[in-house]
Amino acid sequence: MKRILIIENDILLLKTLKSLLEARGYQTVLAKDGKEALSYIEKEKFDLVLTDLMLPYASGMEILEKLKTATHKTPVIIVSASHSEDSITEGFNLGADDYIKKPFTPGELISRITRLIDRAE
Amino acid sequence: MMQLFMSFPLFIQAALIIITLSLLGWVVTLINLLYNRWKGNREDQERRDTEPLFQELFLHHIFLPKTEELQPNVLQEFKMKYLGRKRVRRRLVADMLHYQQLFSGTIGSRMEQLYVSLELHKDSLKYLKSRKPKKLLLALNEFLNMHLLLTDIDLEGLQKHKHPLVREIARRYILKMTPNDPFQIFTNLDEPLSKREQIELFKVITEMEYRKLPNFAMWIQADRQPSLISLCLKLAVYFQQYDSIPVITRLLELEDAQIRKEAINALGKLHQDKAERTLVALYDHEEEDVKIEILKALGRINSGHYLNLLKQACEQEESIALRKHAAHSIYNHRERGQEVWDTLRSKEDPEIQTVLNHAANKLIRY
Repeated sequence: MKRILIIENDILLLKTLKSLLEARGYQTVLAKDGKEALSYIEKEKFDLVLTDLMLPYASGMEILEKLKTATHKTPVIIVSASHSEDSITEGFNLGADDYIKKPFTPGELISRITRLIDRAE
Repeated sequence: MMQLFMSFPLFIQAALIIITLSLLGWVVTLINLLYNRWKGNREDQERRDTEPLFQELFLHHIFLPKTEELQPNVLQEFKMKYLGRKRVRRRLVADMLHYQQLFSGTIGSRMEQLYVSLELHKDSLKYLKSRKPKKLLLALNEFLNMHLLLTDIDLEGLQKHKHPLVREIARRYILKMTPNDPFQIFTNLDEPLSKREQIELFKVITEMEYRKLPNFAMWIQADRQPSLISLCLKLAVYFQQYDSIPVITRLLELEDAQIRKEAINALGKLHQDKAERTLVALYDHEEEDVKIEILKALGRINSGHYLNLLKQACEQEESIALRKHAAHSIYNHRERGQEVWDTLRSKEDPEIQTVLNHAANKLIRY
């Protein structure tokens, strides 16, 4: 079963994403802030990371930097309310594989996740 | 007790009164603290109890629905079982509004159906009868986000409400929710729109999807509110409504310098070279602010017909602001204005050189 790390400080969205992805057969690990996410990334391997940019303790960009230095290349999707060109460019420069702007449709998110996981195989 | 108290010297009596009041204050604070803590704990507990229920409700009816249509029986049961208390209903509405911000597409419309099916709008309907702006704002905002069209609200009264935020949201509601005649708000307007209201309306109007966009010229009339004229000028420019040019040009005859200024600005932004002659004719008789707008408009229109006037203004005007704007308008003419620009550059007058440097500096906004 593919494992996805969801990093999101909006608890309502975090739980909804968990339910949506688990209903599609993915296993999920939840982190509600950057610190918790970094500790998971250090200890475990994931098939995909779904992260917000604005997070307490460590931002999504810091998480991306950490993932970039890791030996195992994990696909990353940024899910953010920030529509600024700078943050999108910075995200891609730091190695993000995709960027989804909030608000989004669950179908769009699922198809992007599936595509990235299939491509990584 | 009273006799004993009265037998004490005055300073002891005063001290006793202060001590008693302090103790009372301390007791009231403590009770208040305990009450708030109890209330907070109760709300947390309720949230913990209702959160999984809400999550399940959203998952089964919104995110992973088994059927296209909502299931009224299931929803009715849910309502009877869990939505008896207003606090719980309001929390559910808050979650729904939050989801509306997070998800797009069919989620929004299903959320709206769920909102109506659970009759969650009834609390807010009561709020609409309130005199408190806070409640009115809450209700209107909720209906707006849930795209709930209500026919029996006194929208006309709300758009004339004394609280500016209530007026603003009522207008926004009308614009979004009355597709047949959203611009009735302009026709019914008899109070001036504040700058903030103008910005808000501009934002809402330019972000909306229209079946048929009105010609904003119908409100660009001398007898209308100056603030409405100002907003409609900006909208006419934004939507590139060239039909409104004759009406805009007529505004140049008005006494109100601010309106003239905004009309000139609109003509410049609509690149109306036909208006150039009128603008140039006005130039010598206008006050400085309007003159600046004329110079800017000539730069925007960029026809090259009045480069000599711009050159003259750059060299001879006493006001440095006019000289800068004239130079910037020459600069905006690019190749067409190159010759005039070079002529000015060859002058030895250091003040002209400073003005030209200023005009060519891209970091300075004109």
